[in-house]
Amino acid sequence: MKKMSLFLGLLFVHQASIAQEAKGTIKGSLVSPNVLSWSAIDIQLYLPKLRQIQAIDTHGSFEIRSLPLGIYSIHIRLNGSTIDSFSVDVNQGSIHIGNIVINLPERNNEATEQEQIPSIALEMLENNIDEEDLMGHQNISILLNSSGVRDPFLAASSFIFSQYNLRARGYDRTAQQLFMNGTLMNDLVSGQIVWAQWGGLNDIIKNPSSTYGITAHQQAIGLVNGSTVFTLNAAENAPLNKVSYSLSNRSYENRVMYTHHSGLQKNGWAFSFSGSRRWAQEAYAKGTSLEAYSGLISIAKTLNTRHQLSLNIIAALNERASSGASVEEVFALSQDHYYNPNWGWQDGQKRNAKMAKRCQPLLLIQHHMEASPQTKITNSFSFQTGYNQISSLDWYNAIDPRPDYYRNLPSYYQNNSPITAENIRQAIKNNPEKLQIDWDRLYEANSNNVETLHKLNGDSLSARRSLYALGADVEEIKKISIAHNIVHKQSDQITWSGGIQGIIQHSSFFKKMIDLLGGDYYLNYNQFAAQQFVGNVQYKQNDLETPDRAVLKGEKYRYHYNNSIGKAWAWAQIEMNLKRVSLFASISAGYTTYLRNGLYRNGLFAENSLGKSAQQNFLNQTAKSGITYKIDGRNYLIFNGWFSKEDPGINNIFIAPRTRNQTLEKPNVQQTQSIEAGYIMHAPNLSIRAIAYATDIKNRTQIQRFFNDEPEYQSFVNFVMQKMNTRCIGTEWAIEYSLNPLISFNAAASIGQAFYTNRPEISIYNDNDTNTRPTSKEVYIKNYYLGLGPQSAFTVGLKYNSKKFWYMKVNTNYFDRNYVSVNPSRRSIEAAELIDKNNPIYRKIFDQEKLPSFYTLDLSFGKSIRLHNLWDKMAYQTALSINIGINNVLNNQNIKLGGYEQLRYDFSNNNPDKFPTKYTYAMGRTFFANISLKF
Amino acid sequence: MSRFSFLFTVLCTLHIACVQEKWDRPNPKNDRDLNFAIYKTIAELRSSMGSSGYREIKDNIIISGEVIADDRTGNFFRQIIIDDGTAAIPVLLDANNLYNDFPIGRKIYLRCKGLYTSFYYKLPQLGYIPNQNGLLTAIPYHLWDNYIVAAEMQQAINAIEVSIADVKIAKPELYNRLVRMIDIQILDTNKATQFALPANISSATNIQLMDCDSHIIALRTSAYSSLQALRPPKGRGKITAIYTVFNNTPQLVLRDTSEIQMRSPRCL
Repeated sequence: MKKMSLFLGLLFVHQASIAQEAKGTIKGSLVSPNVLSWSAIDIQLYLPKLRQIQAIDTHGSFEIRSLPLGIYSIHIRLNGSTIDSFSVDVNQGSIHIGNIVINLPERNNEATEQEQIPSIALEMLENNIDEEDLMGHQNISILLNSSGVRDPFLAASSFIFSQYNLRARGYDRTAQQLFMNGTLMNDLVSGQIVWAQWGGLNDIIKNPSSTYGITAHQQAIGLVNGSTVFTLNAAENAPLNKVSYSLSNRSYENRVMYTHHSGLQKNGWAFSFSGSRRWAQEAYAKGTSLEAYSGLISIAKTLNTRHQLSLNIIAALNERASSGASVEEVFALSQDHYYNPNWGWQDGQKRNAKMAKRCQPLLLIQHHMEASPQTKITNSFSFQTGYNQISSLDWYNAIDPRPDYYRNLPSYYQNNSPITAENIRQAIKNNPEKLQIDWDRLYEANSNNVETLHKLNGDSLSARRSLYALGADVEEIKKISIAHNIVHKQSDQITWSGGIQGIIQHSSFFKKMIDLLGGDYYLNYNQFAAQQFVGNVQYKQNDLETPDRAVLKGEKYRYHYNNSIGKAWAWAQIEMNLKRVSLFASISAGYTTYLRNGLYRNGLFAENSLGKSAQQNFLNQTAKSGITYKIDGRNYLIFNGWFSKEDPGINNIFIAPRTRNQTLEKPNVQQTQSIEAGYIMHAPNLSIRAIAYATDIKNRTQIQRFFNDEPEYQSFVNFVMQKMNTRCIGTEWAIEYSLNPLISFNAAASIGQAFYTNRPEISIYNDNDTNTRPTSKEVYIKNYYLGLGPQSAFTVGLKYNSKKFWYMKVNTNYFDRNYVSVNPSRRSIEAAELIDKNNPIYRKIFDQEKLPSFYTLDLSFGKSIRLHNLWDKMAYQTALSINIGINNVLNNQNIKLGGYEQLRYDFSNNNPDKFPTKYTYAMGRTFFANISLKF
Repeated sequence: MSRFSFLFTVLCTLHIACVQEKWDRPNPKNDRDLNFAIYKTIAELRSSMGSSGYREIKDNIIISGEVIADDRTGNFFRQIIIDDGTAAIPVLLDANNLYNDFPIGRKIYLRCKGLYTSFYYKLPQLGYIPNQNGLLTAIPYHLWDNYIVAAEMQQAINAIEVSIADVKIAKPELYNRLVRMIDIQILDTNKATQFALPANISSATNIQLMDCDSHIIALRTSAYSSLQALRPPKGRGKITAIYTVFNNTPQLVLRDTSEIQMRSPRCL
């Protein structure tokens, strides 16, 4: 770090010595027939060569001073994205370029709206991304595509569809890449984008340059669902202070944010800061709280007209109490569709056992170089370290503490004794707290349990041995990335781009003791192995290197291993922009290596758990290409294609990384093929998008891990599905039409089908079973739908834009074809043995449940007030914005948002109801109100 | 403005440093004793059970007793046995690891109205609504609060000194009670290499115990208990166990291996 500071310091000193040069000035005005006043519009000029932002005044006039002589490309940015550009040759003292006519869309008042609504979308993403249930949302933070054009489908997808769990094109969360200042931010273990890493920094991390589907991007080749590219550079931010306060009843109750941009100073320095706090005593679901702090410091230094350095430090500390999916029986018993089994009363407060905590600060350093007017180079470095953890209850030889444990529910007794079931039902209704964690009972059980532990080494310990404890699954990461990117404009028609990138991620996984709940120690034993292999003193040891260890608060236990991942790739792209046709072609090749290093010698796998695994190496390749035929300046036909071979990711290679080094015998490389074609129209008052897509992903591997609490298992189970093929086909439609300068109409639809196209193989590996070669079987899930939220979504909306700088928007939405995620082992021969095909039970076992369709209504309102207009002593940019959004206005609390069949099944009785489907419900009426002051 | 930014940062940092979750430990419930006005002894309850079949307790009866056997070792399953000095009776409770809440030595009160008494192969017991076969079911977890109040931990109840000769013919007054015998040895130590055969062979195993006068009584151990694989002692000594009956055959059930101490030379 010291060396880094020294390096930067030297560069800055070097800059100070640059000699004064001859300077010029550009003067001019922006003119638009649609704009009455420029004061309410977030519009700026941007000089890429200097990385300088220039504000305009209320009349649209601007004056850019102290410019070194030369040719400048000037970009006009609306809401942070370029909508037009022009060039000026500054070869004398002052140049007046006159009026620049730009054709702003009628919705230019959306400045305030756009500022706000993505905040909602991002908060949702962040707060749901870690959920075990189906509440997660696909990353569709894209509002403006890489060419800066607002896409009506992406707007609907970002702000409306994603709230109700629609996954873009039916892809999973690993189908898109996110880059921050040039380096890949996806977690290399899960492959997912973790939005919580920069949650609460919406005012500064915004307006990404993104691709959706298969299109070209000059910063990255991306994945089949494209890429999102954020560039944080203090020099690109116009001087600004912004304070905002938000009130909501969603994932938080309050939010305060403050952002400061110094703008690019005359000495070449620029500084930005943003900080926020979000908190909730109790968010929408009972027992869920949030405490989150975020901060970002951004420093940029323009060394000269060719070089610029930027440094960003991002830190977000987020502690959130989780909710979870549950079964219908419990929703009915609790009379609450937002029932949350994770909390219980303690000391008069709601205490949640599943606390998700994350803090992974990030350092980003980037060097921009304009090697020539045609060639731009960026060199990027990032370093990230920190942890994320989620706590849960642990218990050893103890009564299951989960309040919705199926063996305690009325349904477990229903067949044998309906009277008993009814008595339990009444007892729960009389005292709903029976469905919450009884913390006092756990403390009492621990304090009563004084035991003397006789260790193998002859020592003994007599104290309160915790039967229950609160432990956290922790991942500590260290990640270093370097990237080099180049864009070369060979001519007006041809642009080359490409880059190389290398990442090393080291993750340490372990269980950490958070709270002994009134006990003195917890034993580092595997109770299930102890039960299964009675009397065997070795098998029950989680770590044979430290047998019979008493675990104290803060200590590691259960499992401890490291994953090391190395990833490197190079890519290249050519874009050709001809008169009637635009073409692009991109290729990449890369290498990924995975290694597990066990730090515990597990008693059940003494020979295969401690130390390094065999290295797992993979070659990944991608090729994509596309053509756009320009019917005229407004109408386009597109056709794009994709082909890639990717490794399945470390989570789908090591079968049971918590206990051993064992990998799948032949980890499969999955193959993705995708095409998209369609029609796009961009006219001043009308935008249309109609796209069809088809994607085949073949040879997929998926390992799901869950705790099977059936008495015969009582163990973590690794459910391996291999040779799985899936297909996503569908169409995307959108239209946005301005009826007049005040009223616009929008409609969008996403109609897809995502389903399995073959019969994959499954194998079930038990964490507590020394048999490492279970038999695999074929499962009959061909043509079953993937369970990933609604596969049909429609929205229709109207928006009124007042000339008085306020807007109101109403959208009504319809969602359908939402299928629950199936348990593949329930679609096997064994699952329905001896059951006749005509028996209704047979259909019940095999049919896939479709969740009910639903409507919602959303409203939003925004008002922007230029305080300068009211009080001329205020700086002209001082503005107050108020935004209010209400979702699900009709407060429909019966919307099943998602569901999944449990992966365990009652093979003894072929009873599909023994382990019922778990569901999550969409939130009822929610609101978000925000007031912000820019000055 | 930079001062404002700095102040904001410092305040945030300070606040972060202050966020430290601390949960108080609740007061344990085990220091309480409840004084109910009306109660019966377990012996009185036993006398109201008759000699066969099940009966619902319809009166507002309250009994209390100290737990003398739990399921810590797994040799008792889904039941605890309580003893009030007059008699003892198993209480069927529908969960594993009952010793968490009702460990040996804990006093409990039982509101018996709505519970059932019955005999399991002549062994009296207290439980919930009988199933189709007339056997009592265990009280479901969510209903425990309706019937059971756990009170304070007490001094361990002393075992009743008996000999095999005293009890080899079933003695109902001693059913479910903790008894102690001395000068006992395992009849066939070559055969009894484990307390119980593995579960895939038999769910429980009888080992014959013998005194020096050749009186014999069975020691029954569950294949699912943590005692199953342990080796029984080969010498002579004392045993403390629960005295039970299966039809008319008396048998002992160990609570823990620490209660079978046979280190003296065998007498025969």
